Amino acid sequence: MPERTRLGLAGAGRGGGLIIPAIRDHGAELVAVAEPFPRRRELFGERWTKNLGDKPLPEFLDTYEALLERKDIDALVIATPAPMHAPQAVQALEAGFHVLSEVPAAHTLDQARDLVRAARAAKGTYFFSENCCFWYFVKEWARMVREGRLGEVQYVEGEYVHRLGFKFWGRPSWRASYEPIRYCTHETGPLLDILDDRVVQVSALTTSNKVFSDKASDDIQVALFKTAKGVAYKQLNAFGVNRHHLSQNTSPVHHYYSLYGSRGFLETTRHGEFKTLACFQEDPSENKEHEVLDLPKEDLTLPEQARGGHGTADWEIMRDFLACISEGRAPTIDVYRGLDYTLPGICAVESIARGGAPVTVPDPREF
Amino acid sequence: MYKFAHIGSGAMAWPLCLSRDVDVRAICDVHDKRRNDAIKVLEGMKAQMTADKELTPTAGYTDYREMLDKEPLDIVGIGTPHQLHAEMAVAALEAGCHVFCEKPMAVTLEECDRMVEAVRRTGRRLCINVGLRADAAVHTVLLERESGDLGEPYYVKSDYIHHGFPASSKDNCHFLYSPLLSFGSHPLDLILGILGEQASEVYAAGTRKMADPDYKFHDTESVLLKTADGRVGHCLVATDVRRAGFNTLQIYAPGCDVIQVENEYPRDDNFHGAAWAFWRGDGQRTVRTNLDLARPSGHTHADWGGHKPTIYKHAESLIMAIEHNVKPLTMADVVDGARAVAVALAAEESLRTGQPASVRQYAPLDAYDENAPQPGIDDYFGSVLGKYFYLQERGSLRTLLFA
Repeated sequence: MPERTRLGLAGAGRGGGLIIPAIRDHGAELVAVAEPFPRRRELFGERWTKNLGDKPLPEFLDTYEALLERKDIDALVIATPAPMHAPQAVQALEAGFHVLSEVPAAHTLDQARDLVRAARAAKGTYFFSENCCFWYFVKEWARMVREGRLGEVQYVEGEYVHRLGFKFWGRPSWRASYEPIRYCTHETGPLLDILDDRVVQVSALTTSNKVFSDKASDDIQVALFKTAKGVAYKQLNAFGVNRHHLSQNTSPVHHYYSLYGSRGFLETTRHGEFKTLACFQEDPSENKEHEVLDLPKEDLTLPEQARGGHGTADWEIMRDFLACISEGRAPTIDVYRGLDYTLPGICAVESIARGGAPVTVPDPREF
Repeated sequence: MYKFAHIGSGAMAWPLCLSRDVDVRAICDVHDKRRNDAIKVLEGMKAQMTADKELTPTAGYTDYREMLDKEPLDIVGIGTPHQLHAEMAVAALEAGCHVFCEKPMAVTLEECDRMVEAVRRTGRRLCINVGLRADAAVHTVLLERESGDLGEPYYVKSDYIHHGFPASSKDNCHFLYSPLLSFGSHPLDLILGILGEQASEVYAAGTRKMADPDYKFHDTESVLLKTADGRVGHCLVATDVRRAGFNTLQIYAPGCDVIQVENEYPRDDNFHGAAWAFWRGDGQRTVRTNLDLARPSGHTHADWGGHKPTIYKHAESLIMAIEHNVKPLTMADVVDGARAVAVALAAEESLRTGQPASVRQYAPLDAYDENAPQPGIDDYFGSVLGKYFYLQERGSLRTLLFA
């Protein structure tokens, strides 16, 4: 293994942001980028120069296959359209690369099975890049739940409403025809981690596609999950709806999480500044008012430059991924956990197709 | 002057006697102390009001049928355990009375069928006390929904968090029924009212990690529902969680982006707040405010109690519905009431079977006069206090949110 981990990147859009801290702060090298769109290469170059000054740009490749053929690369960062993540990760693992995969981990159950088989057989590490699991408030909530401050958690909710363009450079984006509930990992990740749990059953419904005409997918999809520990969990995903968050004027994304337990509750604000509403009650008859906790997404103890990519999550993900490779330790989020977050969305799509009938979510450890 | 009597002497309907056109003629309760205490309070209130109107001394009854026989009544309020509503309401309708009934309207579909049939047959009104419709913020949204500006909402969510039930209510009828039936009337009524259509199918999940071992139902119930035309609702009812009373309403509709209403009902009686968030168009216009909506300034929450302003608004609303032959402004009608019960019962079936359950359909009442002139604000809220509530709430909210 060379002194510096040599990275390859598939997808210069989202990947362009994710990769910066790896090069700037964590000592990795970026050898090549597979990106077919010229405009995206240009934007990648601008971002690169802004963050890394006159450091020479990596080589651009037209295809993912060209990246797989490179012998001067140790690890691939896969930040391509969602349906491609698993097949590309399988190819990379089989070719001997370490893999960091963007979310979700797979598009179908068959893809998920292939991914597990490939990850089991691979020498390289598979690391699932669910950034919301790295948020500071999520870690704080997990600590509070572990310490028993909520008692036994019985009910949780997650919502993700993110209006994005459905066309890029005249072509439909993958989101234009992507069922939004498949994109549930930004909530299933943190919530299932906090609960130390997995989803075992899902029933889901969809609205029709009425709000924006530039997409083929439905506006809002909602699922009710049941977890192995008996927690009821509601998940909502929408791509085609505006819901600007006051604290995020530049990013029209709405994240919402709530946990109800036998001794209290935790909830992110539904509007206004992003904060935590919390109530902890030892004595059930007390009926205390909730308090507002200023728990940000960013970990403010990290260096200033760590901020900016999904809070400090991108910085932490690249730090952990590179440490897994160099130290040979287990990934922070492995393939099983990545699929624990992903499979409820895949099964929700099946439930929608069956009119909301409950669908059993398989345990990827049994694949 | 409308002649009014109330069955069950809980405090819920007493503010009716404040209403400009109501004379409370009788109270019926099998418990002597409760009945006599109620009559005493009512007589005290009447003594302060005789300058404004001529009121009759309140009679006491233990048998509601005897009361219906002897008293010449226009409106009967029913605030008895859930399972008694249907029998009493049908008897009151058949005695020629309009009915002001506590939620839930009934506990079985057969009871709902009987109540709907009795309303159709007698031509009387049966209105359900679902308090959230009278909440200023919700009320404004409902009116906006009526105006058509929102378009067809495609996702509506409402949460209803009520601390302390059912563990603390073993001697209460809430202990006999599911949270969705007992308390879900409020959020389900809003969801169905704003979707503007009965749900066709529901799927529910529930947990009972804190419920009393003797309680047969879940303490937290979460139900997804869909309409025949492919729109979706979600309702959360949590009755034993560690959170002060709380309800939310969230609407996604083509004419807006998101409307979010949040109401907190802390127990300290010093604060009764409502918060709004509103997004529209490109998301650049965002209004967020806190308004003290439930009472006139200078009055504390304790002065008014949690439910009194609501009941007061309901009373005005019911009278106007009777006089103008229109749907009541702040109350659910018999079909709304039946629809909420039908969803709650279907959710119970889904919880039992683990499968989606279909929902009994109830056609809208055709009794309203669509050509009747719609009453104006002055008609609805003829009293100074009523108008104060109405104008303050609706005027300020409209300006802030929909102008």
